[in-house]
Amino acid sequence: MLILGRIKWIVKMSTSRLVSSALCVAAAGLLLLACSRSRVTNAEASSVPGIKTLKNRRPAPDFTLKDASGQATKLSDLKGKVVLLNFWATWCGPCALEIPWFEQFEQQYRSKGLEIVGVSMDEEGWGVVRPYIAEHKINYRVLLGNDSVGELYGGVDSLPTTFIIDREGRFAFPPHVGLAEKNEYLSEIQTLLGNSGPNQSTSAGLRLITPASLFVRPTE
Amino acid sequence: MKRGSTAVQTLVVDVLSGFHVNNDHPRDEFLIPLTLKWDGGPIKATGFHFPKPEEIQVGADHLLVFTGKFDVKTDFAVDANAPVGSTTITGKLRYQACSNQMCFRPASLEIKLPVTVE
Repeated sequence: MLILGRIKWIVKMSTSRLVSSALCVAAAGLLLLACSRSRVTNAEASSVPGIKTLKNRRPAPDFTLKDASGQATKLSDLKGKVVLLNFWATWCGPCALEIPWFEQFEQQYRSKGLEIVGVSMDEEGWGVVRPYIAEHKINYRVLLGNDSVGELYGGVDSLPTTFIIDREGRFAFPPHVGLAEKNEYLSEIQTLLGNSGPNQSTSAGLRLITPASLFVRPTE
Repeated sequence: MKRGSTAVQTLVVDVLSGFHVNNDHPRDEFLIPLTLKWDGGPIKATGFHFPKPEEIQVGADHLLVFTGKFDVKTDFAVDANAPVGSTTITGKLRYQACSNQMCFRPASLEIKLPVTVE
């Protein structure tokens, strides 16, 4: 019942955002990000437990880390996507329980703009992480973390610790410290993804909505 | 301790309620075992004795762990030519603690053991 209720809400929000977007375009010819975002955020805030209002969202500290092939990923390069940033380790049992959920989210939501980033805090490095990725068939981006990056995120003394980051690179929810509920993640991801179709792109605070996404009211 | 003798030292470990540490030989190769190491000195560690672990279930995994208060024993031997006198040897207990909800990063405790060789 809870999931069904949430899905209904998301559909409703999508419609209302498209209507408001159309009005913004008609008025100004350009859709500024704040024009649609602030309305949606206020509505989200009243409906999703824990979600931060726009003004209370702090930017996620930027970092650059490498994946198993040596390719660097800079967190800020993922702006425009909803990021699930999961600090984990191969020796962490509760982390292992969450990994299949993230694999499922990756399959289900990547095309809708979700980016899952696993940051391994294994001190032994790729020698242990690479075989673990293979054994667990992890299908999302895994980077090797370090203490410096851990410090940026409050020390990350306990694992798993997971942050949900909005499309503008800000913390949208309080962090999940320890094993969370799968449905909590789902709810948060769906909330942040719910109103943005694949045709939208964000750059320097400006979001353009392509004609395919516009709501067109037929003339009578 | 007398030159050429042996002794058993007992280290009492107390794990916080609700947490566990892996045993000395966890089943999963990725898990971090409980280890005790002693630096060199006039006495040498010749063996370690860990208690029988408990088996707990986390998700689908059955883990071998220690909880609560338990002893780790070390067999020490004093070399026949060890210098007489008092000193301190240092040990390191490496562990990795978890609850059912979260894990702490691996940590080590330093242990100081005063020794007198007669």
